[in-house]
Amino acid sequence: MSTGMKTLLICIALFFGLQFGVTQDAQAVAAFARQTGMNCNSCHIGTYNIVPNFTRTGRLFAMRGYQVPYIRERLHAEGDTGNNNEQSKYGGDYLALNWTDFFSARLISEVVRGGEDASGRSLDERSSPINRMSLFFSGAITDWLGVWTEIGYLGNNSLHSVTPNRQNEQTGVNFFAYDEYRINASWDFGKNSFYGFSMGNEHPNVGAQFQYPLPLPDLWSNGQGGVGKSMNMANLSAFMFYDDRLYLQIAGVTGADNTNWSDGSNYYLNVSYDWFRKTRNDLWLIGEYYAGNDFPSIMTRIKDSFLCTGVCPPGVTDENLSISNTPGDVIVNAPVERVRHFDSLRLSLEHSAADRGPHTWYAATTFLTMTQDFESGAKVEDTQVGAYLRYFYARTYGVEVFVRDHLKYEYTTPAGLKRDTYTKPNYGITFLWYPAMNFDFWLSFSPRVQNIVFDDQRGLYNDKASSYVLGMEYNF
Amino acid sequence: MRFEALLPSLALSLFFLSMPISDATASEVDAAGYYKLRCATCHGVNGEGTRDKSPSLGPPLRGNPLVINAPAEMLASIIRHGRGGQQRAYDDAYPNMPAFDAGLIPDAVGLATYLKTGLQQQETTSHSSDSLGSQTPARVDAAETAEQGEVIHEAGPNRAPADEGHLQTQLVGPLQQPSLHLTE
Repeated sequence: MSTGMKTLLICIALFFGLQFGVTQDAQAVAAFARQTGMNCNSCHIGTYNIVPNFTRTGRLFAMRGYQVPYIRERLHAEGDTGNNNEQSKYGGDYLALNWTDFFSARLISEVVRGGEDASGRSLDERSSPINRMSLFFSGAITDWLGVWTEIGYLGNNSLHSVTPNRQNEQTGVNFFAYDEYRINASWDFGKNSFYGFSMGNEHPNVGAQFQYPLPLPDLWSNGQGGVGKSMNMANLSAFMFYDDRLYLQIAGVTGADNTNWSDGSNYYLNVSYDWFRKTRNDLWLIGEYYAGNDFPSIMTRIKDSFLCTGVCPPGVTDENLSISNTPGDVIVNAPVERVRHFDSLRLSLEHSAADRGPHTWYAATTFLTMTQDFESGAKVEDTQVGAYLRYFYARTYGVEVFVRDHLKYEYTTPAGLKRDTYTKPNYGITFLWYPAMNFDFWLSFSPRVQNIVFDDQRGLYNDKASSYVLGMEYNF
Repeated sequence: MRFEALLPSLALSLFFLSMPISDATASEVDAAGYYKLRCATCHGVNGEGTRDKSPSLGPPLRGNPLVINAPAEMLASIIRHGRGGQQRAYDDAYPNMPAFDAGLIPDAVGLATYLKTGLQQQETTSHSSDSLGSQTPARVDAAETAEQGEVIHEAGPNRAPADEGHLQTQLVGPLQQPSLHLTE
């Protein structure tokens, strides 16, 4: 190693050493906790599964655009305003909370992964010690503006060798997988009421966090926003929350697989009602409608290869060098169709109870239906139901279970022939242990990983696959 | 190695160390300043609470029978240990009350004393009037006292005693609630 390199390394070590030694107290908790003074449990019912479930406080915090009351006073108290007048009138007199308050991160590690895929191949090689690393820069900018950003690094997308016959060997190369952002502006207009606007690069239902929990039926999100592994989309939303109970949202979306307004667009409506409105007893009745003319077929996989233009040459597969992004459930041997128009409705009930004695839970059930009319004259209709429960004892020991099924998944050919599909209910169970509120271990089982086939091709049905994962997650 | 080689990292470190960190500035303000820094976001800039805000983060402290009647040491214990989980007193839309250690609030008793004195005499400014709407301080007291009585009765059996002793306080609010027992 050259002297210059040694010097550089020492400088870096000294720099970070000094930073750590002085600022570790200020960085002991995650960003929102630093900004609000609250701890994780105030807003979350467990942090497992990439996107944690929310208490009533957490949902309203996100819905409001990461605003908390009286942030202006806090800025004044910290002396971080450029103008120390008693009440500054102008935005230029504010300074957003400093970077130590804003920054946080999450590390998810899959320590063990096992089981077999449908072909009988072991899944052991899919273990990813750095499964996911997310960096956040989020919070209130002023007393009416808030931002959420996330840059994600997916270690589980290790690129595989492209050498023929060696394509199951990982190269160890990863890439930045996605980025997400939402900017929200909101203002009070009465007691427990606000209205606002937002823009972002995900599906607009992230604004009210109603698209979670993830195991429930979802045909809309199409992965996360941003470049890399997942497709991008853009949305503009207007929303309001009235009298502490009624939420309304309307949004325009570029499409589920692009950011172009010119090649079609979709719109989204949300009407939701909060029944009990208590931290220990919060019940949301949610109705969402999503429609438009810019959406991929839910029957087939969207695939963009980084390796091959069009079809890969013989002997080369691009399974791990391509984006495979499907909003729906792929049907084996489904024809490739192009959507002319789609309609989709989702009805949900979500109930949360935080710290009710030693018990904390989050339960939800969802009904989802989508109809797609294709340019060929064909159409497909998919109707699903799902139920979900995450329960904690003393916020330490938890279990998460889900089940979902297709009530109807039917393709109608251009000639009018109806082709029903065959599949079975999907379910899973996860055991959770939280030694600390921002650190957890989990053990999850997916006893049945199956495909979906046309009823007239039942011989292709395969539900032999199963998997299990032992992992950990750390938020800081 | 030459000392000059370390200068860039030292300069960078000094630059970042000079950036404002809330803990550093917090030590320079008095109890009222600490209130604004640590408490006002949830309990309102004048102690009026944030029940009328979204999200609602904390109950009123001004006119609160517990704050008025409980010893400062007991309030300091709540500040130090918070009221998370099963100890949370209010069956409402509020989240857990966080704990504030000495790094965040060096003088908890001093702040508690301010809550019992200075905050109770706080003039309601036009800013907080907006947030309260038409709710007058007297109405805040009445509503708060009624809620406090209900909640204390409900939460009593589940509440774990605070580390700083078992204090029994007789709370007598404006509505003359008879003998509300609160174990802390």
